[in-house]
Amino acid sequence: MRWATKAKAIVWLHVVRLWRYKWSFLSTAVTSVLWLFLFILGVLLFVPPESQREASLQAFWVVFAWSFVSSGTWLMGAWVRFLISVGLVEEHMLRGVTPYEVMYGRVIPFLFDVFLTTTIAVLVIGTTFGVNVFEVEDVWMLLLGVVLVFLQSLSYGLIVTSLSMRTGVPSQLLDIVNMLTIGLLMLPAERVHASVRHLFYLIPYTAPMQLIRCGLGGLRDYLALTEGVVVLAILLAIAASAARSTLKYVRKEGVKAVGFM
Amino acid sequence: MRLVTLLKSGIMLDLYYFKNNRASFVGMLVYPYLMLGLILGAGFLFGSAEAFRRNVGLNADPVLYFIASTVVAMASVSVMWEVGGNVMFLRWLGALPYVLLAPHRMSVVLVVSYIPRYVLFQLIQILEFLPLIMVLHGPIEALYRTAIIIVATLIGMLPLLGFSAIFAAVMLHLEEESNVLNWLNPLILLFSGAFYPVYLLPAWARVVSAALPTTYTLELARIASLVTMPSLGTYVALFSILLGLTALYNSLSLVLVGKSEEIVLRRGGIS
Repeated sequence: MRWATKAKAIVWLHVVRLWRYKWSFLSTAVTSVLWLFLFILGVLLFVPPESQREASLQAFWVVFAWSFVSSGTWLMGAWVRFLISVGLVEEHMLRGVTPYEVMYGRVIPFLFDVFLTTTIAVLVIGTTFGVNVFEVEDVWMLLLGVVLVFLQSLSYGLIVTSLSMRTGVPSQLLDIVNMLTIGLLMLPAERVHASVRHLFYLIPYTAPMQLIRCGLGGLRDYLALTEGVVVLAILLAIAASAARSTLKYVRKEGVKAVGFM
Repeated sequence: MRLVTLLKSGIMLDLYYFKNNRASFVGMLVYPYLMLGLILGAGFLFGSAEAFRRNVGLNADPVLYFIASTVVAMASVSVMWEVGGNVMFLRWLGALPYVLLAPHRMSVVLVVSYIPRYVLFQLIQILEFLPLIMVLHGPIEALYRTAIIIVATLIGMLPLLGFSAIFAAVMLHLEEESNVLNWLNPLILLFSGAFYPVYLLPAWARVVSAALPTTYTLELARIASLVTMPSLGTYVALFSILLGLTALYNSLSLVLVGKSEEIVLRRGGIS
């Protein structure tokens, strides 16, 4: 099959599914924002009224960054279980299309979900707290943070994809990791002691989130930028190596997981 | 098939579920502490206990306040998802036609087979917090405060079962990939004042709150966090409201789920 035909079919598949399950996507985005909003309200109970505006602005950008992490986990990594359960991995492979090629098309629902979640978060958080969430001092720094968090989430999604095809990752564990990520994203790097900050930035997503914060405040953090790129390179290398070995394994042994996750 | 058989099948289902899904069991134990840790961690990182008491307008222990909130929030989500959302799961498995054709009504099967799971899961999750409450308030007071939370979640389950069965009736008619009513869970918790007290919400939202059973369950559970315990009248008032809502929502669900089942069976749309 020609590369262009394959790409066209994969894009078509994901766009059609996106349209078919539009209410599910909308529901998922609304649900995520409402959960996070509930959580933010709880946290804001501890914040004095005079600081709540600033805190809600920070909270919006945490929600934004987290929407990439969440989409990477569920719409990329965990979705492969659906593909396996309905027996489509083998069907694709027989026609010369690897499951990873199908997964690359998941970037479409991934980005659509981020867009939807962000729009709803702008409406909910912006309206409730009366803040302009787009008051940004350094757009380029912020964009760098966004690109890094997107690529890191994508790599993580591909790693989960490989794991799902070999072991069957329990969804509860993915959920727990995602919840821990919210905590990590909320923690400003300034609160971490300077001597261990370079280690802190080695935790995925922390450096991109710091770049986003720098963009909001008009600051520069070259350590976060450097380590963000290093972490991305490591994640990409792990994702590529896991994909290669999993593909080899699947061709020989078949896919592992069956059932509802 | 007797109701006791359904109840027994619910117990067996849970035991085997734990046996075969150890990760789920671990997840169930980790979740409450994770949720509590996130809110308290972020709360103390950006604010203080004094600001919390000032914002809430109550002399309450913030840790116990959020323990009670977390437990009730998780219990409510569990009921709404396991009873209301179970229809989608059964359809996905292909077991929905069997449940619909069982001698009992679908609402009865969903509710009765779920009760053991609720009681077991909630007791485990509440008792998980007992050591922490003991450290904060001493053993005797901890037992008393934990008992309040247990009673609140058990009484609060009664109206919520009927409330969730109404969602099950709606889910029977939807044919989507995931539970498209998922967003109702956080919304209901938001209006119930799960992590943000109802009296701080706008007036229109307080009207919605008054109709939700979770509002009163949360109020009852949060008594555990108050430094000065309220009068007996407060308990009686909250119990009465919850029992009244139990009668209302359960009678409503019996009628609505019955009608919904009839329509779906007539249409043949159960796969």
